Amino acid sequence: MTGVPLRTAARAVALLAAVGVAREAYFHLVSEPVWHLFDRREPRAEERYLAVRAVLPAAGRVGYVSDEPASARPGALESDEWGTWLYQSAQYALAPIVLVIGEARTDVVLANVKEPDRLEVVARAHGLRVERRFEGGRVALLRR
Amino acid sequence: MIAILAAAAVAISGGALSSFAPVRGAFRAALALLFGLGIWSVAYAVALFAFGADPRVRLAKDALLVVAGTVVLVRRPGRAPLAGDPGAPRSSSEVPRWPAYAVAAAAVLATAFFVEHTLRHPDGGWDAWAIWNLRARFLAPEILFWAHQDYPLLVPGAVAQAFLLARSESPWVPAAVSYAFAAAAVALLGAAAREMRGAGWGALAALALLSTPCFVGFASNQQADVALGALLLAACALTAIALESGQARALLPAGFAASLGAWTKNEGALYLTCLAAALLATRWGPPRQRVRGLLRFGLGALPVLALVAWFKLRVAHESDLFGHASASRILDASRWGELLAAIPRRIVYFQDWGLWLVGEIAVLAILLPRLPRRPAARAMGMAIALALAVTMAVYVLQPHPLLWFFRASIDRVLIQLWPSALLATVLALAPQPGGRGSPSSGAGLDAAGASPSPQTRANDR
Repeated sequence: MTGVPLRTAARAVALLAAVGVAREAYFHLVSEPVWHLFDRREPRAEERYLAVRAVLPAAGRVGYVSDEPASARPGALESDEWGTWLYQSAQYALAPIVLVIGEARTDVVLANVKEPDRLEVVARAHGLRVERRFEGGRVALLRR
Repeated sequence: MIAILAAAAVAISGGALSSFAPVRGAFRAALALLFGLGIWSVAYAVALFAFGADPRVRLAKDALLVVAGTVVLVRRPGRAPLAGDPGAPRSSSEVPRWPAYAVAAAAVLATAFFVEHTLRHPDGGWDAWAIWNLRARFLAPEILFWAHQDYPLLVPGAVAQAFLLARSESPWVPAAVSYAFAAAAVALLGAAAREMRGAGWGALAALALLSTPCFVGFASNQQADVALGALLLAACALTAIALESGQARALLPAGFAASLGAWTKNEGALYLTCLAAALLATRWGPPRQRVRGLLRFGLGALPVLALVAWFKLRVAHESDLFGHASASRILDASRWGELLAAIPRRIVYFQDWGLWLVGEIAVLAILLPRLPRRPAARAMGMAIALALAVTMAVYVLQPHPLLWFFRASIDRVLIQLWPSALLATVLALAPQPGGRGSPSSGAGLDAAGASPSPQTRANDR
């Protein structure tokens, strides 16, 4: 045997390709239906931070506190990824500002909470007061 | 004007570098795109580190790329001789036409899926916005900061420059860069298989990649894995050209492509090392010729590897994988057991792979032992196997919860290797066209001034 005949290979590839394309089509037509592209789309993470972006400095370090813990060290993952996602999405939206997790000594501190009713508790825990609320209290500026 | 200069820098520098490869047509065009984007990003990083973020530095850097590329293109002594004719001519009745039509249809579908997914998730997947695009955003406003600081900068460097040219951080910018890398990977795979085995096999290879479910998903998620896969494929394809045609000078751009992979993701450095090791270990020529080939490969890789080394030593010396690694983990049998138990599930992971991995393993198990051992396919196969083996050791060694980390990353590792694995499979399965210069026929090595070794002839039996 010096090689597989092209026609034999073509038949096998046709079968595998049909299955692969069918899987892709299922994803785009059934799992995430294309006809609901615009009416069921989740808002971009950035939209949550549009208002606070306008009042933060253009660059530099800003403290970051939350009611959800973020995974900050390799090998020490939080069981829930919500806090990590919150932090990373805030960092992505607010770049080139550098958000420093747990830092409460910067001039202004960003609070980013899952539950708005925990905002005051988070602020007090770091010796800060709420200066301004955004997004129904899920995002806030804190100061000493 | 600045955008035109940047586009010229990508096109001309890419064209100049690809002129060192003895290939033509779509193969050459795809190489030029990959090399152009790569050198544009590498030069940006060098300029940024050496001279700062002044826009005039970027302008001068692009002008220099245009001038240097033009000089290379003008001074090259005519068109590079080609590696060989694309396969023995076959009658039209021998080559089925439908694969070419299927590739066209699959490419249209893949593009539609890409656009739909990009509209739905404009910032890309989690890795894209949390790492790659985030880093590009830090680079674009001229402030350096490292999210995942040990990752190199090829993709963020290209995206950041495009942000600056567009004067906007539009999500379509990284999407376009990602699409370019994915399209180049498909074109390169199809063209390389066509060049070495004929048109029918080229179409089948391209169709296989396009219809791998997670390929389009990773591309539309804007993850750097597709770019790394494309660059590794370029390195493998050029290595295969060198080994099959005896034109060892193709190993120079092969090394360069592999080094661009090392500047894309950390895994790229591993793949470069594995490919170099396979180049030396596979019996494609006499030992002295293999050493010379390895030196050419290393010479091509040297400039970008110097940048990678500087970056690792001066900027990115922290690694989340190895900073907290423990040797005791590698000796922990339970971790190996956990890993080995997780692998079969991935092979049949239909959502990402359809039946492609099952098919590949069937080919490896059933057909490969009955086929002639072809040096190019063996070298690529050995490099991929070595890379996978080292990757498994890294899984065991790293500090994150093993299964979480494995599930989160193994498909990305596999998609980096998949285009090259497809090419290696085609080269192993397809009959080598007669009349071509190849080590097995001896003509290629004779042309290169070397004597074909008995072992090389034996390899193709």
